[in-house]
Amino acid sequence: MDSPKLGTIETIAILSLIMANKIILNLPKDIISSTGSSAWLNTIYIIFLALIFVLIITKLLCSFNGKDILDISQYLGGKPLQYIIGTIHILIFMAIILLILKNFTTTLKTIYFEHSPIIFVMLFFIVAASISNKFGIKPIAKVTLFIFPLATIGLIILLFSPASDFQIQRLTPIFGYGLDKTFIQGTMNIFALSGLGYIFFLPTLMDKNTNLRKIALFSLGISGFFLFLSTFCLLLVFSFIIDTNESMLLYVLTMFMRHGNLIHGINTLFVLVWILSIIAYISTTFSFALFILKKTLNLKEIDSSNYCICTIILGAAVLLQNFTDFGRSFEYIIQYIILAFVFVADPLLLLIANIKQKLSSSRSKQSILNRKECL
Amino acid sequence: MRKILKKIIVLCILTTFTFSLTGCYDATGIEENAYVVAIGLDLAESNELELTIQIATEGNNSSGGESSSSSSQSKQTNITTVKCSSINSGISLINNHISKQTNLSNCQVLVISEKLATYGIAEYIDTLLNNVELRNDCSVIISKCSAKDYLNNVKPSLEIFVARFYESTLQSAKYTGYTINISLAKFYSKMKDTSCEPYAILGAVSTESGTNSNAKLNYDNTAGENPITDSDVIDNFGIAIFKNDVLVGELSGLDSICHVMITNELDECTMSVPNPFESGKYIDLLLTSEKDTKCSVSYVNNSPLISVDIYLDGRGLSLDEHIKYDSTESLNLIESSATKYIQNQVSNYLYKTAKEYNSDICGFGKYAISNYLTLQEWNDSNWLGNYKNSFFDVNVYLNVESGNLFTKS
Repeated sequence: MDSPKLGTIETIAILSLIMANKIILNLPKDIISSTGSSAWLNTIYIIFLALIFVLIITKLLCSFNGKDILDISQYLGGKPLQYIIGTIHILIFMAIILLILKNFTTTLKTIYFEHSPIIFVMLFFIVAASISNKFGIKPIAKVTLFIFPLATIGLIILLFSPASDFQIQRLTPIFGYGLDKTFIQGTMNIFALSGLGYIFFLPTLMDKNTNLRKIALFSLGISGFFLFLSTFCLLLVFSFIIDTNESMLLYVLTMFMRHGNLIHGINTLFVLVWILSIIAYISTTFSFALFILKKTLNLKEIDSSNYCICTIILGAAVLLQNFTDFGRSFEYIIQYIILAFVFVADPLLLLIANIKQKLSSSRSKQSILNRKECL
Repeated sequence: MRKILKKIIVLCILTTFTFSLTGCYDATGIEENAYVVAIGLDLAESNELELTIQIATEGNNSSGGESSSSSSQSKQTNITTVKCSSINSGISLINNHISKQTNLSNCQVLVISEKLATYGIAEYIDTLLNNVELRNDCSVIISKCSAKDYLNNVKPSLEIFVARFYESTLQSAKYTGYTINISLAKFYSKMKDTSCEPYAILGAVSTESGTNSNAKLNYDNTAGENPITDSDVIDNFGIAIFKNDVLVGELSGLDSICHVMITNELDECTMSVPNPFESGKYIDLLLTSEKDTKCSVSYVNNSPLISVDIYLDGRGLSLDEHIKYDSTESLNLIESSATKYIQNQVSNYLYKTAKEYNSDICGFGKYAISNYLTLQEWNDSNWLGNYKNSFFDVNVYLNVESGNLFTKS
């Protein structure tokens, strides 16, 4: 019988697929829009920042062997802090699913299901995520392991398909919209690697003998490589590509795919792979939300919560669809909240917990010494 | 075990339902659509947009009076024209008029009349590229006659299918260099780019009255001026040159050859160069690219100095008693005559684009852009506006190896 915990390769596949999906969901476009021709430089810069981040948080998590951010928050501030942290993270994960659902289904509807009500398209994803979560995270991880190579191979083929139209000169002017936009305001583009935030919950989900730091670095390497590759290729191809709508960018690229008279019009194949990839992403994020819910509220079974959350997300996604302006602001706000929690609040919490642990260990050492002196 | 079995059955039923229901919902069959193979845009006399679409039909070939089905793989076509305020409203009008819904997914060419192009075509290109159905690799043709006339005169004699005719006729640019096949996506990209200007295929309907008798060589003509007599009256020859989205001029077949030499799009072409052995006569050379053309941009007194180094291989095609390819001396003579000629032609072409049209269709801006550190500095330099002040230093390195099969007559 397989262990219900995640193995090294499964964890790497999950983390990498989460970040690969951000490419499908248009993040390279956001990077190019905000930095211009220096997007490739900015990507290298944010990968470097993410590397520092990974080294720091894995070091901080090491002191709490096998404990995740929920355990650590309980250690730091008791049950109330655990409730707060748990609730915020559940809401963040739900918001992520909501936004993916909204953006990707809008794209699908525009391309293929023009006459279908969007709720039908959304149902595909929500039902799939709900059913997969009945079986737990391990089967999801195993399916992800199968989808990940498909998604990455598809991505590489797609990115290099317009290679004949690549213009290396598009990488210049080297500083794009300026040094400030590239290295100061451009720091915000680290959001593209916010999938690293899942690391905070991994220690309790993984096998005990797996090395968190190795997994985190490996996942960062894979996703960083794909992020750089996609930014680089999209920068080299047609200048109008960044004006595409929502997650249409890669779809527009598929329309350029033509090899002689034999291979053309194969965009549907790519869309199929993306659908699988997005389902895996939504299912994984959903399982993390359920895991936090179960742990925070000490629930024994989460089936009813599964259906409940699914219904809430579906309702919210339909609602968000009807309020376009609010949807845009919501997306913008959520992006900042995720950035604040993944890269500031959670590491800060870890740091304070580490300080507390060190102080208490030094205090206990001192009390042992005092006792010895008394004796 | 029973529980697992129950779950599997439920999953199977759900999956079956999901796929089967979506398959039926809003599904459209191939016979319900009218497949457009070409779109034409004209400016009507009332200054309205005139949209022409060419739909592939089986038409009269179908026997038994059954309803004819439409397919892009069809020889017969139906041409429908409508005056409209916009492309999409025109398509809606046509959908309302014909018995089927138009589908643009097989559209091969977009033909725009010269008259309309001189007013600017940005809004139409933007709209068409925003269409999910339309493939962005369809070719852009600027027609010297009206787009409707152009499409009406498409009568493929060597192709069975209209869509394939468009595909193959535009591929000829690869082995002639007389025009250049440009897709809608490339045209749009160049239109939006700050380092180059767009261009398109120049097309026309060949008529006897339109033949240019002053041209020394055939490739000095533009579309519709060639003295060709056959049943295919469509002539795609030369380049339509744009400034932003406005048509500013036409380039001949020879200019087109020069263009492909500079932009590294030359596969092969036949060029007539002055015969060094007999004055007033020409030798035909088959030219191929030896290696990529090197371009660089520097500034002299704020004017761009553009250096172009072209590397070509040539093979002699012409043969008579005066032409010899058998000695180094004669090959050198042909080489120097051809080099000088090509150098002059390329220079003339470049100065024409700069001084006459102020349109950087070769995209030299992409070489100039590396001289700047930020996009703000680049935009301030106003490359596209300053292109008219450019000077060119053209060097051609031609290597004439031999004749094709024989070295002398």
